[in-house]
Amino acid sequence: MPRIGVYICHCGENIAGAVNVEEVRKYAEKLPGVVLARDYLFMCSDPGQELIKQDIRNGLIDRVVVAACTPRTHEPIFRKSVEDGGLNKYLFEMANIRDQDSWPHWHDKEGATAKAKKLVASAVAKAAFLEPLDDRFVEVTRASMVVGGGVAGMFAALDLANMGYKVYLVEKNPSVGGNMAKLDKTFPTNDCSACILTPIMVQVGTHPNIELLTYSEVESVEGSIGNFKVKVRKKQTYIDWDKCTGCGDCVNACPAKVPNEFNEGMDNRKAIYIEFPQAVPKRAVVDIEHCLSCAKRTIGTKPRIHSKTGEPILAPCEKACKTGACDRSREYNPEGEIVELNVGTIIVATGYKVMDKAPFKEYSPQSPNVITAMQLERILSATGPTEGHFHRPSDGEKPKTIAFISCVGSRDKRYHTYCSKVCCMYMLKEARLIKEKYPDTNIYIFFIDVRTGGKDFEEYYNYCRDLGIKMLRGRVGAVDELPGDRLRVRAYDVDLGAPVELEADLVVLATAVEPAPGLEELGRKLGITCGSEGFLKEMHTKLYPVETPVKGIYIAGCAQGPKDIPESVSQARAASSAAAVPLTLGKVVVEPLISEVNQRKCAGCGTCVQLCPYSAIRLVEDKGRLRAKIDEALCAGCGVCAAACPSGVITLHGFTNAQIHAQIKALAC
Amino acid sequence: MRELTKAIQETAQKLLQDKEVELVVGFAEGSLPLRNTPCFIRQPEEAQRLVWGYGCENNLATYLRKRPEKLAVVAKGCDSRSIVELIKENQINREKLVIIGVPCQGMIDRKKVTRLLAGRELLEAEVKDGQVVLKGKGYSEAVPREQLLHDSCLTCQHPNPVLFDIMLGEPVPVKEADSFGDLASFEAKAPAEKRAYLIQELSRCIRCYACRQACPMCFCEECFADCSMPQWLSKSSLNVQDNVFFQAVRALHLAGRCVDCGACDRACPTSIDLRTLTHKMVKDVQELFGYTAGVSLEEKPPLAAPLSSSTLNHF
Ligand SMILES: Cc1cc2nc3c(=O)[nH]c(=O)nc-3n(C[C@H](O)[C@H](O)[C@H](O)COP(=O)(O)OP(=O)(O)OC[C@H]3O[C@@H](n4cnc5c(N)ncnc54)[C@H](O)[C@@H]3O)c2cc1C
Ligand code: SF4
Ligand code: SF4
Ligand code: SF4
Ligand code: SF4
Ligand code: SF4
Repeated sequence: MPRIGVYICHCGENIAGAVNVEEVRKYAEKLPGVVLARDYLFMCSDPGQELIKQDIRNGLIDRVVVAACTPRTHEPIFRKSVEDGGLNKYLFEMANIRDQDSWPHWHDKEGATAKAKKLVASAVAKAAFLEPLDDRFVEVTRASMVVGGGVAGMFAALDLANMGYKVYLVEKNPSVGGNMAKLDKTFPTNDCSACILTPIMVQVGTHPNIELLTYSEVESVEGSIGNFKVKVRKKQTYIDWDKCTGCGDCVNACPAKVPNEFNEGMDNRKAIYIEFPQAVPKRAVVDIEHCLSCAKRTIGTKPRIHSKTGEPILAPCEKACKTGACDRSREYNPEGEIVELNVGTIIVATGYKVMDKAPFKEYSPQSPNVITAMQLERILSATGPTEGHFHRPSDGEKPKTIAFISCVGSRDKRYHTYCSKVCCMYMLKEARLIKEKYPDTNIYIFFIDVRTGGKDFEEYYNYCRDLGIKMLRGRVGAVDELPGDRLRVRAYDVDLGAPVELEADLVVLATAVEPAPGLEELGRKLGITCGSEGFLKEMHTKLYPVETPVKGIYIAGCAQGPKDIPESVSQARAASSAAAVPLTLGKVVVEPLISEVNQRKCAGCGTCVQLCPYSAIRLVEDKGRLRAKIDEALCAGCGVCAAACPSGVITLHGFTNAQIHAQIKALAC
Repeated sequence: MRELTKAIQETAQKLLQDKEVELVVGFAEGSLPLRNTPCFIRQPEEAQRLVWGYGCENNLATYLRKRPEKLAVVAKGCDSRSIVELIKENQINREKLVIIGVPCQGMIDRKKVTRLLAGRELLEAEVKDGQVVLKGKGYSEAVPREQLLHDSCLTCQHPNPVLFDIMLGEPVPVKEADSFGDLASFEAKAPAEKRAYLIQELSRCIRCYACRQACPMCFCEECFADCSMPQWLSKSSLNVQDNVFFQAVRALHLAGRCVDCGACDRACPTSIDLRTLTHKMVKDVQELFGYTAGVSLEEKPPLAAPLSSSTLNHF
């Protein structure tokens, strides 16, 4: 018969304010298997923990139940006391009578007390079936992978590299830089984005510990903290990057025209292109889908020979290339190349994309003079489609009146209920940049409300007002096209309490910040999840903001939610230090709460194999039959297999059938 | 019918003679009219025992799991769909199996015949021009064939084998009938009435587990019904709640795997209406996940695959 000790915490007033602790204690004392029940003001304090240790040392108890707050933060503490007292630390169970009881039932003291009893009874019932388990240690591969080469990913990579760890930076575009590379100036200090970003990109490109894998995407991830096995697909660039110097001669020679993603589709690039002037690595790639295969030079074929000159007939790009990097005889391989990486930790910093204007039919997206704020960034930028000249797209005229519309797709039930957080500030910034350069421009910003929480942000806002930028409170209902490429903005001014109309030459939509495309898919490969808004979910909003439920995987930047550059960088540096901890320790403890197959009864159906999110299960042959086998080092104890096995032959240690049944039974009576 | 029988015999004989397979699983003549029985042929000269008829109702996929030898099977639509699911669940080695596909004209339900004859003994039967002529002492009665087919055959949407190596005969046309029409009356019931109906039916259960044994997809090494650690349900059939519980879990374990062959329903010695439960579950899986069991070797059963956003969109 187990001898269970129950310890009930008051958590100051947090629990005792709603739960009659003494009543619960008396109830617990009478539960089967319980030999003593105590209560204390703060069980996690030193004297609280000492109670447990003393009772174990005095030989009174051999199982411990603590009814207190959340195991998420406190389980490790109590396990340690149990261990210090001299028991196996897995002979411990926790009942959460704070988050799951006193807090939500604060105004129902009787109900809260009754529920506390049930929760304690269920923990006690489980405790009777607890088994001692041994921790496992896993060696850590001292390298890390960062996915996404925006400002967040680059800082995370640099920090880890500077600590001496090998870092693989995987970026899906040909160059690192991300969205910040597209911005003109950046709030709150209005420094030029390229000027502060380019040095970082160069450091990333030249750091001896960083291996850049651009134009690449994560194909699959296996393993767990300490030993992730990652397959990365390097897309074929069709250019020999070892030889390419990024001179751009091929680009000039190429006749094909393709909408330029970097300039948000406002001008064209070539089929062979260098993503942008400051690209790192500065190398050309062939966009094979749009390549015209000039001179019949399909990739992977030998050139024809000119009948008179006897010279090979080459495509313009090849002809222009002086280094031999551009050679269309090279093998055609749209599948690219798979690179296998072994890393101990992973940081995901895949950033965001802005919404397109197309869905917003009410704002006349068909008009070239209705643009997104990101397009305006490109128009203002010296490397943009107008080379920094402030022209409106339809006719190249300088706009005299500009209307900004906020919250387009954000705070809107039809699209996203969340606030994109950076739009208020970047609208003010863009307006200010224009107003400072062309003071006679009339600028109106239509807001729902202005949100400028942040260091120096309110001052920024006041400065913009003083410049004469006009703020109107009220949602814009429609934008109509008028003759002469003019636009009419119709809104309701909440302060006037009346509808207003405004004629403008240019309308700028602050379209919402959305997760990068494919984030959910990437999340699935990594075993981490997205919230309902589609951004990656952190483990705990306040205490573990860069951690995920998967140990060894961390998140940073806009992949976690909309945020500005200062926040993205802070988060990146937090993620890199969190990711460095296991690398520094060299080995990690893995909880023994993992699953095991009763091989004799396994039917070999393979259901569990397909479902295991960590690819920890294989079918092995055993006397002519297939049976499932779980790799202890890979199993994360998620329990998916145990729940799915139709034969019910998988046991998840720490959550065995016997333990769970006992808990349910205790809750039911 | 006669041509199919001949073709099956010839094919089986040749496969055995050429040592392509060691065993052919098919049907032989039964000892009663309108009955056929599963049969296992190992010698080429025995192949003439094989027949095709209106009583080839058993799902032969049940006999194919984890066979050591190379074998062939005579498979109609539902057998072939079970085979597909069993291959996906590693119970059948595709390399060691030759599937002799036979298009299925529908099988005759002897319970319907018995009901029709109301006590009279059936001595002879003949199927001709869509009519079944039933003969016995002092009577001869012709009944339209459709009236006597199994319910599962009446709604079957895949009478032609979906997977085969050799195809015999011409494919039969597929009915366009709403294949879930027969569930309407059950679905119209209120939850309490549904429960009452299931309790009423399963009060007759004797826990012989014939339903489980007949099902090709029930292959756990130890069924939860037999398990004693923990004991999920009582072993006695007197506990009607547990009889219902047994069938409910059985149905759920078959979600996305059941091909609606009706084998369980036919196997039940006390004629419990099991198909309403399994068929309803087949319908739910189709509506919730857009999945039909047994039609594709690639598509994973919805409950054995991680949910993708495309699956979720069905909700
Ligand atoms: C119009 C506009 C103006 C702004 N102006 C300012 C400003 O003035 N000041 C300010 O502080 N903030 C500003 N911001 C916000 C700023 O852009 C972001 O805070 C910052 O860029 C976030 O950096 P990031 O690294 O998280 O994401 P990103 O810059 O989006 O970088 C993510 C990177 O990951 C890559 N990636 C995506 N998916 C994958 C994948 N599956 N595999 C591999 N790589 C992948 C992308 O290609 C990209 O390179 C502005 C935002 C907008 C929309
Ligand atoms: S011309 Fe050659 S070296 Fe220059 S950018 Fe193009 S491929 Fe590279
Ligand atoms: S508990 Fe099962 S499904 Fe989960 S990681 Fe372990 S083996 Fe895989
Ligand atoms: S799901 Fe269960 S029966 Fe099927 S292979 Fe896995 S452990 Fe074996
Ligand atoms: S449950 Fe019944 S109908 Fe479904 S596959 Fe099994 S035997 Fe056939
Ligand atoms: S075949 Fe019928 S009687 Fe036998 S266990 Fe199944 S439902 Fe019960």
